[in-house]
Amino acid sequence: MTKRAGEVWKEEFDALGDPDRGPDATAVTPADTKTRRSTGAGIQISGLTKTYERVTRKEIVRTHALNGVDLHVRFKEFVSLIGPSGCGKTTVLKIIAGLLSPTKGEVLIEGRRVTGPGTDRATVFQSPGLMPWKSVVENVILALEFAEVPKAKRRQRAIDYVDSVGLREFHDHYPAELSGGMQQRVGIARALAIEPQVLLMDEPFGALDAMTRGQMQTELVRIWEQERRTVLFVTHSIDEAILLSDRIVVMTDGSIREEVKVDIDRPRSREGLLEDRKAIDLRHKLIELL
Amino acid sequence: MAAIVEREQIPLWVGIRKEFISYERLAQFGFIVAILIAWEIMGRRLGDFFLAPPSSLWSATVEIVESGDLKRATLDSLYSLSVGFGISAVVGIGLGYLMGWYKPVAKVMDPFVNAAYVIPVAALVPVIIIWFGLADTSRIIVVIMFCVFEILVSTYTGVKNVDPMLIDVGRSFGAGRFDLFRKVVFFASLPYIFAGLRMGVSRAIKGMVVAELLFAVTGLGGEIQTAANYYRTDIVFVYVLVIALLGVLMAGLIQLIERLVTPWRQERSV
Repeated sequence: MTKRAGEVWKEEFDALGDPDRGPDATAVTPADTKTRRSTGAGIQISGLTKTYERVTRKEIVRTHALNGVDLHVRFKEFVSLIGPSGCGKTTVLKIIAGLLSPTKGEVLIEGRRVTGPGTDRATVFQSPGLMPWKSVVENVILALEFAEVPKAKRRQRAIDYVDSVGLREFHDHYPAELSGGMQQRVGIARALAIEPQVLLMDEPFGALDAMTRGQMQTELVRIWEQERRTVLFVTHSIDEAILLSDRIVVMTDGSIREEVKVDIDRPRSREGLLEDRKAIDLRHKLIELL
Repeated sequence: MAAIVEREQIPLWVGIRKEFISYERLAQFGFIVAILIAWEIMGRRLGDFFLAPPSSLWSATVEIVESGDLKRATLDSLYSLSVGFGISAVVGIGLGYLMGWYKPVAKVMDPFVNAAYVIPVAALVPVIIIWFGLADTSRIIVVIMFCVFEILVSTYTGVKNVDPMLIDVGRSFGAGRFDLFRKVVFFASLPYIFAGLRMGVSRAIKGMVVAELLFAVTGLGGEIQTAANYYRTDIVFVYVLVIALLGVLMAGLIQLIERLVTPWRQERSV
């Protein structure tokens, strides 16, 4: 089953066509991705500031959620944004998604400035945010409808992506009838079905139990290795970040503290990383930073 | 994958049997029988004048069915009830959505809605009669005033309580404001709206009866008034039971519509 899904992705991915993706899109291999330095590709964030104001009778309380964040996620690179809760990770993600507007600074996706939500990006949220009145497949179809995918293509594409996250038997189940992990799979299928240039993930496995979480990570590794997209992944789990990312960006108090490259060969597995020397060193380094 | 899915078709007769034969239904039936027995005993002791026993209701029912009073009064009441409730549903849901979706509208309307909500409508019935006479218009207006705010406030609450997560999801996938309303907020607020309609329909029936009692000439309330004037408690009870039945049927009808419109809210465990 997974194999078929992989093939579907591959085909669709190849068929997606270069004009959409600009000249960068032709024949990308992992090796290419790592050396790529072209400007404008991926996600470029510069000088991002976000300030919240609360006006009371006596005073104005300003909360600086972000203080000048600069970040570049390269084309087809998987970057994790890691930090304690309240450090501004989610705010960065929401600004990239276009759900929040920054106080200062700008975000470029493939060279185009973000002014609001758009179908070049798709988000997987922490709580999956499925419409309870729609079945699994219908939830994906609704997203495609919002994204203005032509009507004739919606159902088949939704079914393909739902199958590919392992929910073949659950097409017409309602979200309330699914476990948390299965719901989040639907959330991932929904984001992938948009076939975005950039995938944003906001602690997608944060609400899951440890075992399901492990399964989902393995699954995401598999998915991403088949279908490389530019991914920004917000998490507070160090192991998750090491398993998934090309690069890990550490955030504290609304600014970026450090960036570390994850120089471990793919495919990676959770078991393999337990004993990998580089992974152990990296884990120590990150624990110190946080 | 965690769960194994099995599909089984349900034959029609099993569905019907499940609907009508169950311990709950049996308990309901037993409850009715117990009340009737207690009522019969009390009625026979006190006499028809104070409390007509259930056994005497049959002849009273036959009497008002044969004279055509029951049918005429019921249809008469149903007309003002359904028109009034229909208008209330449209106005209440419409205004509720407006207030929920456009904050300025809510800010302006809020105090007026609260004020109108607490006004004792029954006290205004005489004024309404002076303005609109004893025709259907007055009764419809009383019904509306009784139930429209229930529906409005529920709808408003429903729209305000839509999970902001769902709105974020919709927006992030590119939904415009109108799409968000039509495809997300509308469905997400349906449970609240149906709760409002269920409460509203009971209030509408009460409003209808109150109006008719005060008008004393038309509908089920009018018939009750007349029967009471002739000390026919048996007929009064029959009409009261008819009104109660009407309430059950209307609430059941709304529940049925709710189940048809919101099929996602009924998973059950075996």
